[in-house]
Amino acid sequence: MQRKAETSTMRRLIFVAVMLGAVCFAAVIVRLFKLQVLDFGFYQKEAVTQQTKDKTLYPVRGAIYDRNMKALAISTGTEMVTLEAVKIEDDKQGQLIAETLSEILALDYDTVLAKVNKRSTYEVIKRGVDKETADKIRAFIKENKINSIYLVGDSSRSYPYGNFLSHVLGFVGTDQQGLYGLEKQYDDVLSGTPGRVITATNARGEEMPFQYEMYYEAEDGRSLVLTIDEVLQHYLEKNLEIALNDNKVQNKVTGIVMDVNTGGILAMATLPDFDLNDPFTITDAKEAARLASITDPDERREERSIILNAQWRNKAISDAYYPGSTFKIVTMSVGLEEGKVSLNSHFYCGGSKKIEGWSKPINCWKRGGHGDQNLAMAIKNSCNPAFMEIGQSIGWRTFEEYYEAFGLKDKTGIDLPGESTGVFFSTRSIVDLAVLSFGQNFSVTPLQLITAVSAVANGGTLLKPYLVQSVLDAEGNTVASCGRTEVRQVISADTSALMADLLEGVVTTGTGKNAYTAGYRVAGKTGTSEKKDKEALTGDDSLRISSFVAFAPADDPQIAVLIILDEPTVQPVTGGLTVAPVIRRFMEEAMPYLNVEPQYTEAELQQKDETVPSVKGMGRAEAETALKNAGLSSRTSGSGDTVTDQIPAAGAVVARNSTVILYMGESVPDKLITMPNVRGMSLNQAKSALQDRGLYVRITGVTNTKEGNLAVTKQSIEAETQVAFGTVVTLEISDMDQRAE
Amino acid sequence: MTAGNMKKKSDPVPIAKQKSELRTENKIQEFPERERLPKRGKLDEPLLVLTLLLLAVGLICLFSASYSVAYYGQDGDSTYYIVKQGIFAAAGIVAMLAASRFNYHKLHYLAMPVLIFSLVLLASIKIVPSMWVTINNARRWISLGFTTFQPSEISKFAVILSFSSLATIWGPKKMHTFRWGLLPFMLIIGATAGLLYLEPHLSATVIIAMTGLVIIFLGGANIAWFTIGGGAAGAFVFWFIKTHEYAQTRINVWLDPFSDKLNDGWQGVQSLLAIGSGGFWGLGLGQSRQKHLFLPEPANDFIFSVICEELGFIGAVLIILLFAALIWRGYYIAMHAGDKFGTLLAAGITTQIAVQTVFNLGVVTGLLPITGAALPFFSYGGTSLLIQLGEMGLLLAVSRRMPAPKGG
Repeated sequence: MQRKAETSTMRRLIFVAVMLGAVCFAAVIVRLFKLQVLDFGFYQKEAVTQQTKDKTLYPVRGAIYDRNMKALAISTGTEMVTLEAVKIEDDKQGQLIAETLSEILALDYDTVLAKVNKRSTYEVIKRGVDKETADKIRAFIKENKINSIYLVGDSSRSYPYGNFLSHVLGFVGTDQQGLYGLEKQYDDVLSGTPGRVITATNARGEEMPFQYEMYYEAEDGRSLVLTIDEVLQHYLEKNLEIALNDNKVQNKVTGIVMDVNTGGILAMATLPDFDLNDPFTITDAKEAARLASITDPDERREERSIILNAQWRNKAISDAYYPGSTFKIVTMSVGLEEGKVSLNSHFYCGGSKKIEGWSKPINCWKRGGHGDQNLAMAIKNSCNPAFMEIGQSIGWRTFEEYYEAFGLKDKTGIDLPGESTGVFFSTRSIVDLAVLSFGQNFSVTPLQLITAVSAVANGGTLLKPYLVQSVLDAEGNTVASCGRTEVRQVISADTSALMADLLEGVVTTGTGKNAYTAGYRVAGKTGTSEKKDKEALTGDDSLRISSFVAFAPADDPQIAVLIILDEPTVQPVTGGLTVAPVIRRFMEEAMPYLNVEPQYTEAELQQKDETVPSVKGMGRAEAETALKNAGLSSRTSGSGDTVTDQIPAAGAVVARNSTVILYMGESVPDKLITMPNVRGMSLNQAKSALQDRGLYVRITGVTNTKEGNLAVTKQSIEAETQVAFGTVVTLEISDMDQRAE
Repeated sequence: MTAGNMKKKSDPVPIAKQKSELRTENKIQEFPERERLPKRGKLDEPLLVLTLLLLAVGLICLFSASYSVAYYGQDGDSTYYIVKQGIFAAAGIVAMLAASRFNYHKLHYLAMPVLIFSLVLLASIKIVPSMWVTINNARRWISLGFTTFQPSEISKFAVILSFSSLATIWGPKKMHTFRWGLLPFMLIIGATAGLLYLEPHLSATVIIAMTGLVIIFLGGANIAWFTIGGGAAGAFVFWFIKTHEYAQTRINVWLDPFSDKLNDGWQGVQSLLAIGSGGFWGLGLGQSRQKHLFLPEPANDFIFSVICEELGFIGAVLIILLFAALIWRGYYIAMHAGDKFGTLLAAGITTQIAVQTVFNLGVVTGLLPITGAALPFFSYGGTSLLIQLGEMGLLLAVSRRMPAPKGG
């Protein structure tokens, strides 16, 4: 008999076999089922995250050009600092990296350290690093033999002209994402498509030569060509700034210049503005001081955000206002189009008009009344009772239809973010209709108004305003373009032409005469509106918005200009006195730039500026003849035979018939003259005051008429300034009677 | 049977063979059961096939798993590990077949010398430390110049052999007593564990202890000791964890490796990611991504993670089933061995393979805390593969002397 193991051994053996051969393996299989089947998704995601390196290739953001390809926003090559923190050797090295990077790149140490301690394969430390700074980092890398910091190509945005066109262009954030204005609106187009490189890596983060790699090339952003004309924009901004300062405007000034035939925006500005290269700095010193005085950090953060948003707000499209008398253009167009009025219509103004449903009579700005007027006089005088009458004859229904047809209830659809629309009447009373007729108690945005006025100017077609006329790819090929987009025909071409004549009359002899631009036919309308909405809040009934909308040339309109001063504080604040000269100054520069041929009247020719020729070296008679031919007179000083010196110097522009002094054998006396204050004087008083001191005069402003209360309102050289003998001063003449609201 | 014996004796037998058999018979006289051991028969084919199958699959998996570490570690020579392992596998097969023809009873003689040799070898860490090689803060290898080997592998075999031998000699009655059935075995385990602690080598200690305990359990040791010992060990572990903060941290990291995935949890997380991301069907042989330096020891302790990633749940389960079948067959042989020594030897060898396999699978799947334990037939390691195959040869040797099934 064999001595095999005992029965108890067999039992124990079966127990061991079951435990080690079945139970334990079953437990492992159950565990594997959980890991590989039930939780597969989680582990796969985690695994792929660590096994692949996903690098972003940043595209270069497209540029923004004005219509003549002047670059207004460009992206320049910079570098980006990234960190592959898994490669950091130890905490000591990590700390060194955090310290050095935060110092060189001016970043918060704790933020950088947090990125270091993540020990991830990819962290962006800073973008838009310039070469000089990048070189410092390269030196640090080399010196300390660090293999976890990388410098890769990047781009950063710059705006070569700083504040220029700031509210329209907008700006980008730290990650080159468009935050405001066109940068935001066209972010998709400008930003391009980032590329990616996805590589399989080993645990050291090294790419593996025998594994897959996916490469998607970055597509650079496309560039925008704007309808904006850099030169006109400059003229507009310059004149808005003068208006802002002259009138001590409390609540910003804004202006729009539109191509009436296409709807393209040629210029658009709001002042005060801000530096696009530094948009987060508060430009208003008073606001900045107020902010600094807030101690609670949460409150300060909130207030800072409010102030910045106000700073960036594009008033031209975002702030609705009461258009006031500028709206009379619409009222009259509708009356003419509907045949309710004609050139032969007569209106009587007794200084006020009683409207059913309103206890008090509604006043005209001229309390004495305008008496009997025809249509042309009604608009020249900006007579409220006459327009109330026109409004009543049109009636609510028709008027509202036209109001809508002029696009005043809808956003214009301009390609900018943040466009708003105004508030229309909630009721439809006769009183509402009366005040609607002269532009009170409802609001429109500046852009809505200029778009409607452009329709009146261009033959009656409402156009959709736009800012981007074409999109260029990286090679400069046009890939998309935008042009005139008609919304609807609102009034007939005849009415349009008639309105142009009537509005030209406003400028030549009406309330808008301070906008008169010698040699050019400017049509326009003043506006001065009460801020009834703010009055209701503050009780201050003195606040006004003064504005002027114009288009030119009246016989072949090309551009429309709207300028608005919100709360000017230098009295009187009417549009005819505060804004009309701004329009004139702009037109004086814009019209020649747009190659509009000037047409001078006989009276204008008499006052036309002349350029002084050089007569040095000529004989007396010869010099006198030369000057006479140039429209100038002369006198001599000294007894020589030839002209040795002259004032004004050759090339100076002076009023016609100014007297040039010819020095015969002498030279111009080397003396300084104290500039007198000639503001408020009549033209003749001013002229003699200046000529007595040996100063010359050039005249701008109301030069087409002697009527009205003409006075010098501006002198190009401030009083008390020391100037050379024979200096030319430009005087601006305004009609001080233009107090129409 | 008598007839057969008679017939054999009457047959002309070569002198040399007769002499050798006689000599063998004489020596075995000293041990109780030798005369009834059946003659050498056919080896157990299922076990042989399973062993060769596991070895083949193991080599294929090792090639894939070691590809990347070899590429990075051996100057781009991706076949470095597989070639070395292949040579040892070939030698191992020869050793296995040779051992299968060995009369395992002779091992009774070797039991004590092998045990003493293994202890001396382990003790040499203090005597001639220069022979030892340190890797990753652990001194577990002795260098032979052309290769290195782990003395703990010899200890494993020494414990199996000596325990089986002693348990057989003492018999169930003595085994039931403390003096014979527990004390000597505990001294051997204690000495081995104490020396292994110098390396240190926790997983080998646990495998040796587990295997040894199973053998004395099978040899008839009193179950009460296991109950008391298990209770005491549990209480000790509980106390240890409660009073040692680092132990607690390790337990926490084991239970949730993601809580510290960059430091202590790294290995566990990488293994789980490899296994989990393999999914049901796997990424395909050779397609592991985790083996590219993410996984620690992808060719060794964590080879099974790579297998799970490449072959998926389905492949992993098939391999587990192969192991289970091998272990079942091992215990089958133990149950049917010709004598008790054969039973204990076969059970000991099978248990060692089983414990080591379960240990490895438990660690890589996160069921057990991380300690380095190789997967038999799969993990890179030439000498240990050689010893494993030699042990399988002994298992086959036991199978050759199984009595024919009664009435079969």
